Amino acid sequence: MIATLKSPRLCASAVKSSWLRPVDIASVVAFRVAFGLLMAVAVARYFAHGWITDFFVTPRVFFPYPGLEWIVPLPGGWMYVLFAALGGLALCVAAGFHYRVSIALFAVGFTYAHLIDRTNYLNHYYLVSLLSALMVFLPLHRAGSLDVLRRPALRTTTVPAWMIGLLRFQLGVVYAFGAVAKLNPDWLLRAQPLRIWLGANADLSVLGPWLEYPWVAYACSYAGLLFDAAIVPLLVWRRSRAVTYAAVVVFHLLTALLFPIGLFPWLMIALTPIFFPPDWPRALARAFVAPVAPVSEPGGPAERAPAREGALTLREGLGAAVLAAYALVQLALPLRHLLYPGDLQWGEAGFRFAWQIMAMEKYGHASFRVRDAATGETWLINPAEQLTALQARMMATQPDMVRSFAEYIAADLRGRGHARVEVRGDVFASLNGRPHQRLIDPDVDLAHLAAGASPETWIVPLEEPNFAIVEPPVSAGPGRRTHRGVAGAPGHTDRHREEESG
Amino acid sequence: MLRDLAAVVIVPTYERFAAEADLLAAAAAQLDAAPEAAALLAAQSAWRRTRAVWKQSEAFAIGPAETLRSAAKIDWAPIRSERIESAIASTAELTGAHVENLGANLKGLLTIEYLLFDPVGGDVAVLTALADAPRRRRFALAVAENIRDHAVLLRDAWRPGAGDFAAELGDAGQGSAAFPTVKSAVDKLVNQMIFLSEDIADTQLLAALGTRNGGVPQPEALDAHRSENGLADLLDNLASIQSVYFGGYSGRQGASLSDVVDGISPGAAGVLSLALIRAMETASGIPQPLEQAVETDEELVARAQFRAKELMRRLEIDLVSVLGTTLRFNPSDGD
Repeated sequence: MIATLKSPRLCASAVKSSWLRPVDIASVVAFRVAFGLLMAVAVARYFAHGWITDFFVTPRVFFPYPGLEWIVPLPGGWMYVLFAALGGLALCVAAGFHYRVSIALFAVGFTYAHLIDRTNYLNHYYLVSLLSALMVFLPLHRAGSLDVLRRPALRTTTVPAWMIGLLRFQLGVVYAFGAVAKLNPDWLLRAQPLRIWLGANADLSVLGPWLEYPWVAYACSYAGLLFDAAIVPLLVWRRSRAVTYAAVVVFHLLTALLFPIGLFPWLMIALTPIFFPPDWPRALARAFVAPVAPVSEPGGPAERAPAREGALTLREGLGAAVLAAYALVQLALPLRHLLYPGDLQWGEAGFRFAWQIMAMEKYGHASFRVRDAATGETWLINPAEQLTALQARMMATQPDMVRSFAEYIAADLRGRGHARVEVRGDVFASLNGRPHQRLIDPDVDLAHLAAGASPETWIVPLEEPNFAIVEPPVSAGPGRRTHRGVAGAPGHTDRHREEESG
Repeated sequence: MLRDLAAVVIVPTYERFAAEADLLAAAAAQLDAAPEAAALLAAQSAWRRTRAVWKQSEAFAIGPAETLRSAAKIDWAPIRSERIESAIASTAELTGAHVENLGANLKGLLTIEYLLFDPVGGDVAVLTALADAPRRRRFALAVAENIRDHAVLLRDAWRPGAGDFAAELGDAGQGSAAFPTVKSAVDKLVNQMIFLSEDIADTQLLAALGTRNGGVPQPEALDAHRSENGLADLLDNLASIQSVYFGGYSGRQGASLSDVVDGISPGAAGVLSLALIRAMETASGIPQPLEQAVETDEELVARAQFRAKELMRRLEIDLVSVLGTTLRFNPSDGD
């Protein structure tokens, strides 16, 4: 049988029908409640760990995003007030209380806080900002909320299917690009950084002894890649959904056990049920609690009418265009690193906002040499004297932050009467277990790089050597010990006793 | 490895520290009784030996050293000489208990150094100052007794059968309250080694070379510059890092962190060992005293600083990478 080709108009109409089809609101209500409660926990963790002080009050220097230098911390104790407000707003979101205002203020406040300093960038904070922004435009309060209790006319039992599709798309992007992030030689051929991370947990009971085996790291690397790549299709397919969700829970529980990644596993466990049928909360309630009226029974006075077929209206067309543009940005932004030369994880051009989740382990150390071009005076800058320990550590591994700090040093010294200073960096980093090497060209004046300077002009390319067995020079003296070809440490410990005894 | 580190390195070091501190107090008592040249030399020698062992302990200044705030009570820098003089001139009874209540910058090893060493007037000036000032001698004795008391506290905190923090470390990940996982114990030690290596490279050597202030050497930036003990401090600190990494002390050897690293990455173990050896050898090549060498043999000192910096990077970057250490100053979540 030859399939009948439909006309574009008929296709558009079918798509419209599908996307505007009313579906049970229950799953998005559950999404809203879970999101709000988790955000309240996230805020509480900020207070509990002292992070508001550490990230926003203590630092004297911040690393704003380019073009967003005007975003600065609130003065005095107002950052604490902000976070307290975010906690309250999160609970309002969960409860569906003045929902639109609450989620909008939360989105703005949370995003503001995390745009202050690049030091604090985390992929799951980026996800929170995106989700909270999307939720402003979704009527997730029109059921199961205090708003409906206050204004029963708000109540509805359905939402258009595209809203659930949008939330599924956003979570799906995280998983999909999480898989893309793992398509690199270190992950696939060296099982790094998992070999480092799993080895560091070798003392866990039951699992621990297994984690030191290289084959386990390889198995976990490929399992992680397959998980991220397959999870969305398997969640969408009805027959595999339940088992797949069980795998989601197990996977994220393991990551929570093994790695210090905060709320991320719980966020994904709590929000992934959006891939279930829209009425899953009611089905769960029917199965375990009490009979719950399905959506097909007559609902409240504000129940949405069935989706209209036919051509898109202007409003619908604009809405579709906005959604399409949003989707395009979400798909293109993580791939922008393809426009830049060099290794993504090494040079980190296009690294942020690319869902490079748990994809690398990088350590670094930075110091700076300053020269007054007029007087020839030179001195050294230890970042630890001006940055917090976290800032210094993060800066040392991220070239754009190294450059920003060099520019800050120059600007600071200009303010102290040094009209022109040159700032050069001795910045070393290790990526995924490699021996450390220079990250930044030590001869480049970082404070005066051209605005669009190619990374190749100031970032040292990543070398590929592994540690070599090094035979140190053999020297005479007491207290020698032999260790895999190492001549041993000079026996300094008893030096004073030896001097006394003559 | 942790059990051996405690038994072979840490406990014996603190045992020796307490013993040397006791000898220092005895020497100070002898000087108090008879302020003569021989007694002064004996006290100075006892001070150097006590300080040496203290510096050899700084790479494992964890656990009791933190809770007892031993560094502040035994080796605070800088001291306040005018406040020391005021304390001596006061009418308070100068005992170890009295010293305990004084501020950190009036006691500890550097206060005794201030009283026993004069870089300008030499031993003659010191003896002159001590001979006619019984309260000055008594203050030195009181400070020495206070150091001894804290050394004993530290020793006992680690000693099996007493505080037994050695068992806490040895039982990491097996019921230890202080270290619920082996990783937490290793993290603690590695972070302390990094901290000390940074101090050696950046605080001790760089500051003394004056590379932070236009290249003018600053020997007074070294803590124990009055006694010209700067090089000894440096070498003892390096020895401390070596003892933690190689797991050996005073001729005894146990399972070590280097063995762990070797099991994960033989290449990394090799470069780390080499960095430690190079740092020690170049520092050992600096002619005494360091306080003069920063001006007369600047190139040698600069080379030692270079090697110390290399060691610091090897520890802070490569060792951390191999072990998957959580750096102490990384309080936030990751992803």
